[in-house]
Amino acid sequence: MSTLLVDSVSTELSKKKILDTITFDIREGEVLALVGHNGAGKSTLIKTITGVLNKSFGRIVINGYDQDEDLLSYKQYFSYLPEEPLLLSELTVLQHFQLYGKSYQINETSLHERIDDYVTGFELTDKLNEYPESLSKGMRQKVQTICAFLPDTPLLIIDEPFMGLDVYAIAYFEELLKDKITEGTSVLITSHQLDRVKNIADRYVLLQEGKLVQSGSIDDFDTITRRTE
Amino acid sequence: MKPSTLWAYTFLSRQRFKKKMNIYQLTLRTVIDKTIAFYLSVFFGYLFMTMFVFGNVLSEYEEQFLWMQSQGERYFYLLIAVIPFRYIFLSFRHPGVMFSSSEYQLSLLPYSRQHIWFLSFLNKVIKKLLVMVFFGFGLFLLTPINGTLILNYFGMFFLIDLGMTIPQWFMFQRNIFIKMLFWFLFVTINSIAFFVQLDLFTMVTIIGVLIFINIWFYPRLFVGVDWGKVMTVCDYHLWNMAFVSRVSQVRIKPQRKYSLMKKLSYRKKPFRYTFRSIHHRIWQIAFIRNIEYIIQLVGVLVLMLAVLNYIPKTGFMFIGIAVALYVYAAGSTSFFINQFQADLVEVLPWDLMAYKQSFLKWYVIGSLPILMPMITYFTLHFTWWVPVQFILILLTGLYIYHVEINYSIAVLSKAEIVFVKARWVSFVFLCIVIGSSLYPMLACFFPLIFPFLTEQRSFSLL
Repeated sequence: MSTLLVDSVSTELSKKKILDTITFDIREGEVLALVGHNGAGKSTLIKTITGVLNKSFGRIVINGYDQDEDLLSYKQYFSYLPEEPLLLSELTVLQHFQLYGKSYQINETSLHERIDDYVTGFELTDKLNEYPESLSKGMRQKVQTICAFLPDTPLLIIDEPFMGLDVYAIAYFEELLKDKITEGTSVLITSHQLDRVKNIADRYVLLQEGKLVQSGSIDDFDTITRRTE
Repeated sequence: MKPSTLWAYTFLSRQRFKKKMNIYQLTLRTVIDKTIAFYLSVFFGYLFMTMFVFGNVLSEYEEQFLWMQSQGERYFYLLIAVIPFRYIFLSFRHPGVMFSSSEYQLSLLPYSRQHIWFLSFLNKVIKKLLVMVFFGFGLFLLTPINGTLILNYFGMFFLIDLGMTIPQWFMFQRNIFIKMLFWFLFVTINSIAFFVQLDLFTMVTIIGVLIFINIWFYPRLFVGVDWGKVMTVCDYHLWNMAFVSRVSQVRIKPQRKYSLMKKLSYRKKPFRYTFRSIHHRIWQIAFIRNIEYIIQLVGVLVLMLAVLNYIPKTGFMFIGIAVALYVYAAGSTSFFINQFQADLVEVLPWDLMAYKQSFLKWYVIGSLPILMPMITYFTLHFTWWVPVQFILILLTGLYIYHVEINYSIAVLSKAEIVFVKARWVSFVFLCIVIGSSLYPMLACFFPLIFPFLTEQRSFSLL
C-alpha cells in the first residue's frame, strides 16, 4: 500500500487550472522530490495535499485514508513543514510544541523528551518561552521544523526546508530527516536546492505549468531547464 | 532637486486605484455578461423611476422621516458623546490612516515617511468629505428631513472622524490599557454629561477634549509606531475585496493579528497538557482577534432587543428573541468554522468534538450581553410564566447551538450528514418561543426539547 497516493488531481484557482491531473504515489520510507520552476505548481500541490486548497478533481489518499471520505483521520497521518512559518503570534515556542503534541496525540513524557532533543539540536533551549516575533526568521523556521518533526506520522510533507536555516541547522535537519526515513517515514519534499534534494530523495516528480512532465529515479534526474526554454 | 512626495503619492494611489478597478472589472465580467448587464440596468432604472420619480414611495414614509427628524434633534448631543467610542473599537483592527506596504516602500525611497502619512491622512479626509456630501445631499433631496439637521449631523460625523483619526492611530499602536484609558475618559465625559443634562456642556467638552488630545498626540505621532503591524493590517484591508473573494472563491486570509494580552507574563507559562487548556487559549486568541466582529454581531442583537423593549406589543420581543437565538448561533458557527480555515490550526489534525466542547464556554460568554435586554424585559413584564418562558428560550438557544456547530463539524470534516430533521426541530422550537408570547402555556413544552438536545450533544461523526 502506498503511503501517499495522488490520483488524477486537478486544482483550480479563480476558475483557472493550476494543477492538471497529477498522479503519483510514495511508498513507505521513500523520499519523493517535487521539482519544478517557480510557478510550476509545487506549492499548490502541497497545499492541495494538506487540504489548505480544495482540489477540483481526483483523489488523495494517505495510509489508506481518503481526503474526501475521512478527512479527520487523513489529517492525523501527515505532518507539514511549510515554506513560511505558520506560527501563532500569541503562543510561545513551547506552547506551539504542546499544541502540536496534543493535536497529534503524543503522550506528554514522550513529547518532552523529543522537545528536549530537538531544541538542543537546533540551539533553541533559551527560546522556549519566547513569542515568534522576538525570534529571527531562521529561528522561527527552526521552531516550525521541530513542530513538524514532533509527531510520528507516516508522511512528512516538506516545502522548501532550507530557507533561512544556517549550515549547522541544515546539517541537523538532514540528520533528523534521515532518522525519520530510517524509521519508515515517507517524505514529500520540494526545494530549489537541487543538489541537497538529490542527496536525500529516492525518486522525483517534475512539474511544469501545473502538469507532471517527468518522473523517475533521482539518479536519472539531471536538472530543470530554464522556464522559457 | 528634491523629488515631489505629492507626485509620488498620487502616482501610487492612481496605480492602486487602476489595479483595483481592473480586478473589479475582471470579476464583474465573470458574473455579468452584456445581456445580463443590460437587463440589470433596465431593472434598476425602472426601480429608481418608480420609486423616486413617478411613484410617491418617499412621501408615503414622510411621517417616519419626520419622526426620525424629531428623534435626531432630540438625541443629537447624546450622539456626539457616544460616537468617539466607535473609534476606540476600530483602533483594535485599523490604524485609521491607510499606510500599506506600498506607502512604506515609497518611504524607503527619498520621500519623507511623515509627508506620505500626512498625504494619506489628507486622502482619507477628502474621501470622507466627498462621501458625506454625497449622502447628505441625497438625503436632503430625497427626504423631507430638515437641511440644517442633515448639515449638523454630517458636519458632526465629519468633525468627530477628523478629531478621532490621530487618537485612533495612537491607540492602534498601544496596548489594551491605553484603549481602556480612552474608554474611561469618554465614559467619564458621558457620565458627567448625563448628570449635568446640558447639551452645550456635552458639545463643548467633547470638542475641547478632542482638540486637547490632538494637540497632545501630534508631536508623538511617529513615536513607537509598529510599522510592520500597520502595514500588515492596511494591506489586508486594502486588498480584501469581499465581492472579488466571493466570486473568485479565493479567500484572503485574515492579517496576522497582534494580541494585546500576550505581554502578560502568566500567558507565557506552558499549558497544562490537556485539550481543555490548549483549546481554551486557541479560542481566546480567536475571540480577541475577532473582537470587532463579535462586538458587531452581539451589539446589533443587543440593540435590537433593547429597542424591542420599548415596543408595547409583546409579540415583537419574542420574535426578536427567536431571531437573536438563530442569528447568534449562525454567527458563532461561522466563527467556529473560520478558526479551522486560517493559520496553523488549518494544517493540524482536528479533534472537532473536543473543540466543540471547549467552544461552548465562549459561546455562553458571548451570549451574556444578549441576555441583558431579555432579563430587563422579563423583569418589567413579569408574570409567573416568565421562568418557564426563560427556560424554554435558554434550552432552544442551546439546542440551536448544538445543531449549528454539529453541522459545521460535518462541513469541516466533509462528512455527508443530513441536518434537515434537526433544523426543522430548531424551527419548531423557535416557533414555540414566539408562540409563547401570546400563549405562555406553550412554554411548558420545554421538556420536549431534552431528547433532541441529548441527541445533538452526543453527536458523532462515526
